[in-house]
Amino acid sequence: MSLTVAINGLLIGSLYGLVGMGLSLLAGVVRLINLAQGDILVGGAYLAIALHGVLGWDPLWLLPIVAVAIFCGCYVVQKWLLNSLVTREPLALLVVTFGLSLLLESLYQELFGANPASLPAFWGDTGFTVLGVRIETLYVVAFITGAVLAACTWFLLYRTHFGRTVRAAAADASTARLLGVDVERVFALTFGLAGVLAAAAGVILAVGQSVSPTSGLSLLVFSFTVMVICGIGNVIGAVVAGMFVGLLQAIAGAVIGQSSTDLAVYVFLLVFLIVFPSGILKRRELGIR
Amino acid sequence: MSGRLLEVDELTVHHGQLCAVDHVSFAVDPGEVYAIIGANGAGKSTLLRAIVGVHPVTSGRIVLAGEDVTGIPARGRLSRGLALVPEGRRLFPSLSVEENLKVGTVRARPGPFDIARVYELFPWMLERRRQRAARLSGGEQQAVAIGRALVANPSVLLLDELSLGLAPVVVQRIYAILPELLASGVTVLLVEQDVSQALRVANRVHCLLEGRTTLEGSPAGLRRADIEAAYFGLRSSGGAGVPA
Repeated sequence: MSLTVAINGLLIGSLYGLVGMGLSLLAGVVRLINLAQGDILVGGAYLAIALHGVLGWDPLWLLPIVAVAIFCGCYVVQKWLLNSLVTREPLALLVVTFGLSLLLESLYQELFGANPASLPAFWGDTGFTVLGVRIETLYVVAFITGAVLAACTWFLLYRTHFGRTVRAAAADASTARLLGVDVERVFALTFGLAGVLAAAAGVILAVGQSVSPTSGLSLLVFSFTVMVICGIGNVIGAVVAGMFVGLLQAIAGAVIGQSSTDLAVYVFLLVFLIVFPSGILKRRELGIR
Repeated sequence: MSGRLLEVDELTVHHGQLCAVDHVSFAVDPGEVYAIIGANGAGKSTLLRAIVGVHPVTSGRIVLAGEDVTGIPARGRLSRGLALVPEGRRLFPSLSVEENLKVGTVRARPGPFDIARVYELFPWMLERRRQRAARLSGGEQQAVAIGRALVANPSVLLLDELSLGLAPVVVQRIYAILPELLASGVTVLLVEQDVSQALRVANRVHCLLEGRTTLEGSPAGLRRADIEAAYFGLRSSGGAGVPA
């Protein structure tokens, strides 16, 4: 396997880190395993493809518009659908996100058809060589997007008033409520943030790979693997774990064959859960920096 | 408006099927320390949680400064001046001391207390403000919990079992700040299992037994035997001070 494949795998993996970070935030703050996280990513990709069709802008310019739209959609879903179930029916919550996942898949199929679609960008198939290693621009863009959004998320969580209320609600929602924190609003904003992280990854992935209405499931498993490795609420760890998953895929692709990249992640997740049933990092209530 | 700051009128609160607080009435005057005493399970904590709005009320009224707040959610009561220091401190363990205090300012009213004032009240906190709350001792955590409630600038500060799990010397140190709070215009409603501690600091005490009022009065006017009878549910020898 060449160094190029490994490096490209590492770089694209930072996007999985973003999705995993959102999943892990939701698990830590809202106590919600969001089975629709992969479909939200696909939604971000399709929205960017649709907007590109109308406006013709570069995907990077579309990113903020997609982020705002997905944020609003996720906020509404959490505020008016999921919040009422959070304290009453945790299991129903899981089922509802599964239903949401099926609903989104059908919606994408209806609107965009079953064929894979992708997003054109001038940097989509260019590259450069550093010390004899060929690096594709797309993967550098993916890494920069991942790193910037991870840094923004870290700043938001650990350096702002909003982040304090998020971490307080994650640690003890009823005491946060007692102190006047609008916990339901915090939940909705957190879901919105998790949606933005997934949608951003979706826009970049749509340039590099194609998306189809059912792409969400495998992406959910990748991000779930990230969450299992890094633990809950670990922002920087999520990027590292995401890069590891990307590398794993690259190695499997080079050694076994391109068709085995997803399988490698599934097998790894299974083995990991058997060896470390409670993860390698214990839950630290968003205290990790 | 009467001189009463907080009035609790025929309040009944249920814990599922169990009636935890049964038609309890009392009124707290501005600037006093009002103590609710009673054995474990008497309904003291439930009463405080109902007053601040985190436990639903079955019937009765809670009136703060002339305004009926019974139907107002917890957030609204906090911004009207009711702040609770919950039983067991309940700090956010992964947040630093200062972050815990900042969370307390979410619904802060204007008033004498801010984070700098809390550091004046507990000088050790300033140096350790970046430390995670989980690393503090029980007494230190209790101080942060009080500070976190104070920064909301409550008119009535509700203290739930301050002495629970703390060494007597630490409890004394915590209670030593009460005069300063009162001087800043804060009225205190406290729940305490330690009766002698409550009698030492309170202007008036109110004893609950299985959710019902068994005694009310000022510590000076109550006989030890009557308090014991009210606390444990024994028949009072004299009956002086025990309401009908």
